[in-house]
Amino acid sequence: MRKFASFIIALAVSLLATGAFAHAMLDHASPAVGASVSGSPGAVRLWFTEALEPRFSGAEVTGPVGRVGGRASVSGNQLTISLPHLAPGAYRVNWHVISVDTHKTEGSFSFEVRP
Amino acid sequence: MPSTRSILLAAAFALQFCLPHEAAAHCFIGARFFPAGVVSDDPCVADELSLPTFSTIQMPATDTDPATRVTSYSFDYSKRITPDLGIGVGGNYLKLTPQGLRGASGWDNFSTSLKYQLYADAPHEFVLSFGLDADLGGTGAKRVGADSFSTLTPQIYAGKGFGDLPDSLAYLRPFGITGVVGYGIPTRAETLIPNGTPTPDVEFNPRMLNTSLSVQYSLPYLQSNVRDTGFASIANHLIPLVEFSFQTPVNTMQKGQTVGTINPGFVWIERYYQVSVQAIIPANSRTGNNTGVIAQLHFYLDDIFPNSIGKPIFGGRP
Repeated sequence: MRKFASFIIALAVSLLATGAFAHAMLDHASPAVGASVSGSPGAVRLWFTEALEPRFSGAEVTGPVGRVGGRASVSGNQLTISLPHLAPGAYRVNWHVISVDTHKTEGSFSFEVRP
Repeated sequence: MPSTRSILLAAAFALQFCLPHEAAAHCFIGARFFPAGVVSDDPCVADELSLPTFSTIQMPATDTDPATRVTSYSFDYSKRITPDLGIGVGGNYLKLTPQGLRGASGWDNFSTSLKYQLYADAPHEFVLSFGLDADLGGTGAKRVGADSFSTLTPQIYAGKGFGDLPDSLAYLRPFGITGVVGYGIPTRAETLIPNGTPTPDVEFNPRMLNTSLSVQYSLPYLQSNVRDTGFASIANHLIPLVEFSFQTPVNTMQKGQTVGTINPGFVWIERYYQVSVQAIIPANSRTGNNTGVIAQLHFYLDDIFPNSIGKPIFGGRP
């Protein structure tokens, strides 16, 4: 049983120290998930828990008049979508990313733009 | 060694509700992540390792037997053959401590499993799988009550996240449920138990309807899909949940005598592993009247070793 416990501890410690990559989860965003912001944001920025594969990661923003914003750009663990001036209303961000070890994740959230 | 077989049988039966039925999966369906349950297996196929799962519960005394503490250390390993087809193996080491009597310890029967993920609907966060569990009779120690016969259990697994609810119910979107329904078929309908007379006792081995359910509220889902709570350091990791597990004999004299447990607790998610801690609460008086605890350390091998043992043997990305 002592050897067994030692094995578990060693495995746990090695994981804490490893440089491997995991599924990329959304850590936080700007505008924040579900937030209501005053005035049009210049961009939507998403920060993930892992570095992203730029060729297979993207997002789109849709609003009262349909899709807005340009093509997403990726740098490290950050994904950015530049936005034109947004009219007040509700907007939704749909994102899909692949971390550099090829694990896929996706999600979506809303934010509101107030006058 | 304990003096009565009935103690061992009662303890081993109770453990059906304290132990994971098989290794569980790193289960993403659309935006939904279904964590591995310790009682109700999640509906996906993946490369994962539960090591260890620890549980302890005090079984009540009966008219003839003393109270017995049942402690278990178990492991489960699952491996993807293809992206949708997986196999698993598991084992439980039991320690039985009856009050006033000498205890016993040893391995319960080992188990193997086969699971196929039949259908996944990402937008609706729905997944359906089926599989077959085999509890391998004679591979465990009789002194801890391991059966001499095998039990085959065809199972159906399902999972549903509620991320498709309308905006007016946005705060209910983090809810998800998973469920498993299985039909346990023993390979031997009865077991003869020597009693020192020419006529042995006969113990009937019923077929069992096994059902389990997990109801979970994913704070990571809330945090990344509904509302940033401002407490990301906790909300990005914590999934409170309640699991339910029931077994109902469908034949023999035990027919309809359901036993089960309710297991409230939480799962803490990290990059490469998760930790689960849950209470074991008897669901009815037939199951017992003492509470216990179950805890599990569960590794995501597909994340830890994405290019070797963490990917399917045939086909697909890691």
